Amino acid sequence: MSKPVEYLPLSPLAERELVEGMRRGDAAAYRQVFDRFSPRITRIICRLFSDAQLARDVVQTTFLIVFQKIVHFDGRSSLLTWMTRIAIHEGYAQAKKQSRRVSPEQQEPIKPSLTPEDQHSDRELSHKLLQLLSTLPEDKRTALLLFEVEGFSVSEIAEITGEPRGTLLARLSRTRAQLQKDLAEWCTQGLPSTLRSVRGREHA
Amino acid sequence: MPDQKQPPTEQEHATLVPLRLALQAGRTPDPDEATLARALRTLADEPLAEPSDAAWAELARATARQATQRRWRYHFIEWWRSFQPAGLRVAMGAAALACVALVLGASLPTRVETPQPLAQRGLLFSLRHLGNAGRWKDQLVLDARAHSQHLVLRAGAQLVLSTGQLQVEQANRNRPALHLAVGRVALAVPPIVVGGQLVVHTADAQVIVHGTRFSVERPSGHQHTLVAVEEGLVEVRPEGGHRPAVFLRAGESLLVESLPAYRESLRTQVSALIEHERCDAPSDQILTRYFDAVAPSEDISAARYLRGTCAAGRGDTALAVSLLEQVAQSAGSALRKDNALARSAQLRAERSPAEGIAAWQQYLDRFPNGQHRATAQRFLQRSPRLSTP
Repeated sequence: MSKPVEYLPLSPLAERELVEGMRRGDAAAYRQVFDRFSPRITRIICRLFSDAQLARDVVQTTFLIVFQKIVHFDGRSSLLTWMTRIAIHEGYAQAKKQSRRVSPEQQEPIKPSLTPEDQHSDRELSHKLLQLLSTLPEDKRTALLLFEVEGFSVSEIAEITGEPRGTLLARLSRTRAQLQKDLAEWCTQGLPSTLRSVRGREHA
Repeated sequence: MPDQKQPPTEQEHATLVPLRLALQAGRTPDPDEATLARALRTLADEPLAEPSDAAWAELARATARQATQRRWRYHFIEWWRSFQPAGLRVAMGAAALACVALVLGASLPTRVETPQPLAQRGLLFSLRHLGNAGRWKDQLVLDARAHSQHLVLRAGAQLVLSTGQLQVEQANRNRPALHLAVGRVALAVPPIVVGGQLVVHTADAQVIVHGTRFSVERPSGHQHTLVAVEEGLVEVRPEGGHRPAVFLRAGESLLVESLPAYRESLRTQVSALIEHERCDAPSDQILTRYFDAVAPSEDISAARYLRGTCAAGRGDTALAVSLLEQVAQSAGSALRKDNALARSAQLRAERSPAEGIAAWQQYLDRFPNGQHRATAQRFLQRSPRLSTP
């Protein structure tokens, strides 16, 4: 599915104009930054912590920090990378403080779907993947979500988490292998019939 | 069950790509890997939610609240700092603690029925109305020719005008504007609300404040403005000439020349460049600044000629021809027009003989008695076949 045009990455020039607009105190620039980045940040935090209320609080705090500190933004990384770093640090801090992260058992059950067979199985798969992700340690979950789902490069993730690139690469490979194994086990043991047929075709 | 995999090699690390992209490219032969890739792709393809107006409104309220808190904190610290020496602060702190203890004691349940003494009520009334004692003026002019002036703006900024005259506009509390004709003003500005700004205008620059302590000076009889920052960050935008904005941090200062002085300084630098026919990168930057800053009526053909010559030297013939032809059209001096058109014809002839013939003929049509007519005629004689229609 293609994403709406307004969420495509900003050119460095457009991003600089936005930053300078905020530095000048231009209210439209603040609104534009919020409209452009808040959905993405919300999604990242929601998936990392599986808590919509926490995500709302974190997003608000993140933008408060961003608006306050924008004069110190040096432009070495992109605005999205900088904001994601703030959001993830804030998310960990708030989750730790409030201990609000829900356990996988507390998560919403999968609702039956009337969509076509493959789409149904894909949704179930992604739901299971989210459950598996929530059981991973924070560092592995963050690295995998940012790299595989949100499309950040390894260098950008290194900037966000403050960890060496090599460590992240090794962690990503290990996390992938572990998830692959867990997902395969789930597919062979607790697989719905639709998925089993899909996997059968793949093996053949 | 798949076998336990070996840890990835350095080479595999270097080429690590997201699995969902590998799936799209058909590079996932392992079915388990494909299953994980499909799950990841489904997550990545989920559409983003629309930004929420309610969340924005809540955020705007939170920023306003935060700015107010920061302003109060700032004022409190400034007020606290104003007590000198430090011993006085200790005494004040002790007195404040004693007051708190008194108030707490007074509000104990056993004392609630006690009617509030008249003096206490009077004190509370005075405190409550202290803030409204002076009514804010939207516009005012401060004159410090006789003695320095001190003022607190609606936005909470404190200013001291030590010399000269200052016009203050503060109809919009969050966007006050100060116009300094001449003199020196020092400001201490508390944190500014998001979307607000405080600007000091002088004839030479706009100084935009981001919550800080700084001073702006435009000395009488001088063609410049001096900005010095003690704390925080200030943005200085020179007036006119397309000069770039400069951000000044604590301890930094900047002298902004007036536009005529800036132009004169550039003119001097460009004259030196023309005299020495310099074509390096710094010279090119000076020329660019000069073209940006120059008044529309000024004759810039000499600088343009130099830039054209430099472009030709770099092998950028198209740019060189274009610049030289502009000089040939607009130069004030007939000799420069003549030289520019001749140089342009030379460059076009190097590009192609046919173009050279057309260019030299154009030259002779325009300057039949020009300085380079002999060269033009020689060139046309050497290419007779091409020159005849």
